[in-house]
Amino acid sequence: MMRLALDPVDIPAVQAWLEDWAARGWYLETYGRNLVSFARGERREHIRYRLQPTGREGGEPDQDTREAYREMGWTYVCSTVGSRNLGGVRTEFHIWRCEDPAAPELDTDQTLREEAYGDLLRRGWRNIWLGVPLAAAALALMLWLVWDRPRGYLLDLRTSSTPLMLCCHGLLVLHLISRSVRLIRFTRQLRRQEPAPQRTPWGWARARVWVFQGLYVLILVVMIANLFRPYDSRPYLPVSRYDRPVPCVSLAELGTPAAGEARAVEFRSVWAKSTWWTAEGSYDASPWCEAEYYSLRFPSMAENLEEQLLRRWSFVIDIGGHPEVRASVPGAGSARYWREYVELLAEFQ
Amino acid sequence: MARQPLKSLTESMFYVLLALWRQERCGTEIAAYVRQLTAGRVTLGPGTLYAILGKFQEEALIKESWSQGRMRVYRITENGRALFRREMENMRRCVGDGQREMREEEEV
Repeated sequence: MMRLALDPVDIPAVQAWLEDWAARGWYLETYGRNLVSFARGERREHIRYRLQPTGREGGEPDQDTREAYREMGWTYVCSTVGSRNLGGVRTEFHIWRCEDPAAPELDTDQTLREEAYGDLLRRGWRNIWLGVPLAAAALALMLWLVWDRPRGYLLDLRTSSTPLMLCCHGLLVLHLISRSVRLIRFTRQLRRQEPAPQRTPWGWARARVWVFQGLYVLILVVMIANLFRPYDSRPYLPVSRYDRPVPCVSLAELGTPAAGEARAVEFRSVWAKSTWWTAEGSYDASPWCEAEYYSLRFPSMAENLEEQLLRRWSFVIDIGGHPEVRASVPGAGSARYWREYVELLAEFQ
Repeated sequence: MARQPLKSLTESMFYVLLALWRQERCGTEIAAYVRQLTAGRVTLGPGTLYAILGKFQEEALIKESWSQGRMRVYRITENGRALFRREMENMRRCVGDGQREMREEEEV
């Protein structure tokens, strides 16, 4: 049987979780980074599981150590996976099981136990001092790319994937911080010689795992969805196919003979309540008309959007000898176009 | 960062050195001896015991004298005896100071 792995730094919660499974007749076999496997056995009370930090060298305990521990009632089960890299798997905790209620605890000296967490603790602090600023910088870079990238801003108005990714990224940074904080809090408890509990309720630890594994899955799904169905591939449909008014500028409204029925596509996203792109005629043949309509959730974004739109159509504006023509478009505060190209830039309020 | 040499002993460390003071013992014998000597007040779990034995070997306070199969037998070194005597002296002073204070309080 497989289950989502609790974060091993929730040490007493993980111990209680494994003991509760053993009481139901399921015994730990492997503890992976994401999944834990259990094997069916007989139901037994008073089984103890203990997590022991592996130290800097990682790896697994050698046969002599396993034998020595077994003589004192403790059996090696497996080691948790801390990280994977080109050098292989780096383990984080050894997991030991004891079936003899009379056997001593695995660690009986609080000072030595705290020392054993030294390496994990150093990594915890390193995650906070290095990982968090790096993650924050990455978050800032993503935000900057969304707001300042010439075309990115326009693209991101049509999809919710970027804000979704930003939220997920932010939550994962919080997860990284919270993991280190929990570890630091646990070792401080040992350092203060306070009795560290061997068992704590594991409901919160499990909820946290579901939330963060869910975030990873969500990120993966969004990435795959964008890969296989980019938002640019959505079809334009004739305006008459829509059962609601389409904010569409037609060639007729611009004083040019119509070139068939206008077509439109609608997008909805976190940023814009409604985004319409409409087109009339063929891109390769004149006359041709294209219009974009954005109803933004945050009016402060409008200024940036206008700047991005102007930058996008700068190739038309920059060509000399094509006078800008002011136009009157229903619903638009102001509109201007370049007749030679039959392009229209309308500013909706 | 350079590792700090051992300056003081925890209670478990003290009893491990004491267990080896008069005779060589293996890990399980040390644990059994300490439990018996302290009437169960001090127990040594395998995590603690083997961490101490590893640390003491690094500090040359004990040595592996012989092994048979997977059983390893340890003996205390002169460094270990010196550290143990120093620790005993410190504890004797602590107890002496405490007793003097308590006696003076009783006389008052």
